[in-house]
Amino acid sequence: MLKIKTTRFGELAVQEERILSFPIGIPGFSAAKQFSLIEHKDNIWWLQAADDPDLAFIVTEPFSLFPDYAFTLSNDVESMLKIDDPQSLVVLAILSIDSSGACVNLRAPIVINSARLLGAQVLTEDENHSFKMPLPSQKK
Amino acid sequence: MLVLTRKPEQTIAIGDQIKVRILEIGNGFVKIGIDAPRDMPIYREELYDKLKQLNIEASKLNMESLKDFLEIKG
Repeated sequence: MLKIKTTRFGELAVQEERILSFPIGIPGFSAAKQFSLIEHKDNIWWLQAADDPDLAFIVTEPFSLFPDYAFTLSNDVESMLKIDDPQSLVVLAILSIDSSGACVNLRAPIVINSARLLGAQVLTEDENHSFKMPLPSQKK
Repeated sequence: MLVLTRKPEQTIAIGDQIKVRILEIGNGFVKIGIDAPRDMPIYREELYDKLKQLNIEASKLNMESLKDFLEIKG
């Protein structure tokens, strides 16, 4: 077990096989290379930095919210994340809030290879995907 | 900033691992080909800056402010 310090959740004991490496970090936070996923509830997770107690993103699995969502992974990303089996891919989208409500970043999803514990935020080329896609059916 | 002039099909080498090739010059645009190591991500700067800014905002989000919106589907 690894102990990671967090501002929001105190000290957490995380199994080493649940620590994800982000070799190039996350844009804006390139120093943070290791993260852990902490389940909140109902398809909402915290992506908590293992080496920065204060850094965490709220993420969700986008395909259940947007069934038509799709993007192409470049060969470079496939190679960086050592993807050999698409079954081990996990895709998450970072949540944010703007004046219209809660949004998810579909333009730059978090892509994780669960078999190799490697992850990256991928800036997709598809301009139809929004950086701030409003969540469907929000409570008003 | 180093400034130099290149013609189409000419290349700039940055160290041993990065090559930037001028592919085409058009009316108001330049098409560029870049060879770089795969762990060195390449972005259009304005998109990268936007993504960084958005990530910084998103990292400040807390569940409390999100709570009102999280009635996502049943």
